[in-house]
Amino acid sequence: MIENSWLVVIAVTLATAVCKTSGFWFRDKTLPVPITRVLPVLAPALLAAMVVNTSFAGNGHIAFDARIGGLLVALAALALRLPLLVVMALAAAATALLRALI
Amino acid sequence: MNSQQSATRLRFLAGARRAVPLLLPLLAFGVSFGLYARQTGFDAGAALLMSMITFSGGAQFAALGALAAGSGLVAAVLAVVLINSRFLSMGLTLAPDLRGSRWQRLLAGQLLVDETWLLSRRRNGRHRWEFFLAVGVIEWLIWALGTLLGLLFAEHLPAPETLGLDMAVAAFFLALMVSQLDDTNKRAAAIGSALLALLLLPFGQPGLALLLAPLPALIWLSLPTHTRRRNSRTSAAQIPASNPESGND
Repeated sequence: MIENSWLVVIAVTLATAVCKTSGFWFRDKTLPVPITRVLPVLAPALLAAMVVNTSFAGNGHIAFDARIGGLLVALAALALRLPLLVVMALAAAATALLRALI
Repeated sequence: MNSQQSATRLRFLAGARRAVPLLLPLLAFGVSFGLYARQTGFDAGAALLMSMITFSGGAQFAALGALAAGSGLVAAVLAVVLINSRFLSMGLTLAPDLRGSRWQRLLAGQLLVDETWLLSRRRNGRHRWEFFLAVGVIEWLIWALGTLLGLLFAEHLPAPETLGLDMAVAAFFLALMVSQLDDTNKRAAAIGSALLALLLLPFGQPGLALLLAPLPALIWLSLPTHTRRRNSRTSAAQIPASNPESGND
């Protein structure tokens, strides 16, 4: 049972809002060279980390489970250049099937 | 309607269309947040308000997870900041392309989530304002609706994991990533960040991998000897933040 739900909402919202707008303060500032060089490659780096987190995160350890099947099927579907929705549907179906079987 | 308005509307619709594949998984995860809030004994009205004004799935799950584990409000807020720290680097590239007054930009900035940033991003590193707004508004509605459905009908709906919808989202991110690996530096950044994320998994803090995701790329780009054919343009001394990336569109 979590108490002070409304206080939690205010605190979490403020913390999130600060994070979301933190980059804005540098809008008209000149940034150091290492940062301006990393920004173009930021999207693939973040995406790679999110894919790994979603596919392998256990409860404080690396988990190898049905999700690997979904990941491999998604990679195969991408290699075959299938449409995005088909890639997503195949990954979900493979994961769901393996979860039902394991 | 003049031609400029109709062009804006067309871009808005084009942006909305990019969000379509995500509608069902996002709705399902909104439902699972509503369900999770019910399970942890979180006030239902507060949970719905949280989805509407916090609007950050990862942060909301992390906060409730920390509180449900008895970690207290300070630890919960720390978990939120860790999960959301990626918004600092995202906000750096987004800020120059937001429109309106200072307050309008701060408000629009609340629509910043992974999908709005990724789907509005152009090949040259700038962001399409209309795409950002379209994806943001749609995702906000779907996230709030999903939360509401989860709070109301949790016990009657299948868990998103049963349907494999968690990996549908992973496949979406994977496809987005593969489409962007068009030069050596991006491939190196992706591989480095993926390996780092694997190494960090035992610490049980998913936000850590997102916070440190730029680090392998920083190291790679500071190596003097390898070939970086397409990146020579950004090696000029200092580039203003309002135009951090040059290049073709």
